Amino acid sequence: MTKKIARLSVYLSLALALSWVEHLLPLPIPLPGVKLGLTNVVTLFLLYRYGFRDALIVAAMRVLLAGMLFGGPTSILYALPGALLALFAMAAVKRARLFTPVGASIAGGVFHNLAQLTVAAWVVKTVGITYYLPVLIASGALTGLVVGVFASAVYERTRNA
Amino acid sequence: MNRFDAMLLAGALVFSAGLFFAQHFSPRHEAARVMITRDGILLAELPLNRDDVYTIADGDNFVEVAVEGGAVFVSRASCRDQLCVRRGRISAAGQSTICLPNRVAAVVTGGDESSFDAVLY
Repeated sequence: MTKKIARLSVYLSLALALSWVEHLLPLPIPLPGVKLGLTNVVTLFLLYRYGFRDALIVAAMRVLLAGMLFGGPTSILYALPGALLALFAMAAVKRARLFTPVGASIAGGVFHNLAQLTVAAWVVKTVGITYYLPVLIASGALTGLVVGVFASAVYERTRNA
Repeated sequence: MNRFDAMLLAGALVFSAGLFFAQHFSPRHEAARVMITRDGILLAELPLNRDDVYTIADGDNFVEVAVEGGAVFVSRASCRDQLCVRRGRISAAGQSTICLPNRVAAVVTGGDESSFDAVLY
């Protein structure tokens, strides 16, 4: 148990660090809501290596801590549904066994953005905001691809460790 | 990355492209109209999809408002500065053409909205 706590804590710190780095260096694309989601490399890695529960624990804690440390409470409002829905989507894709972690990450990226757009629509009480859907789905899929490649690389190389 | 991943990625991109084009080429559900007022009193409300000419006249003063090709403009007016005529064609909701000397206003409502000028967070 202690070993597990220690292990997850390390991954949590890593995820937090990645989250913070991304917070410091925004993407050159001026569109709101488009981010690399680098921190999801950790979530995805955990999902494949240790399973859904560990990934869930680290992802949820990461969102809360990032919000407390630098994101602010509004970041939690958007990030939590995004991270949770993304994790569920990734777990489902993983279950389907047809895809590699890259596929899971693509799905994760898309659903993360879908959840965030939904929260945004609820916050501003405007359904018309969904005109932004094409941008978010496309960017979610593409950033998911990049994140998936990273996570896959790490997963493959540490498989037997 | 295997072929299923690629299909998933392609699917997402095609879907978003499809959404994008559907949004931009779908007919608006509300027909655009132009409301013509004088001294703030509504004189006429014309649909923009039907070519028409509406003239407000008062002795020697007149403003001729024309609807043509989905847009509205002032074709002729008796005012000296002719700013209303020089305004040109308008068709987006919220746009307006005013003839101040004649106290006439033509405002477009419904239909397409012009894109945002600024978004603040």
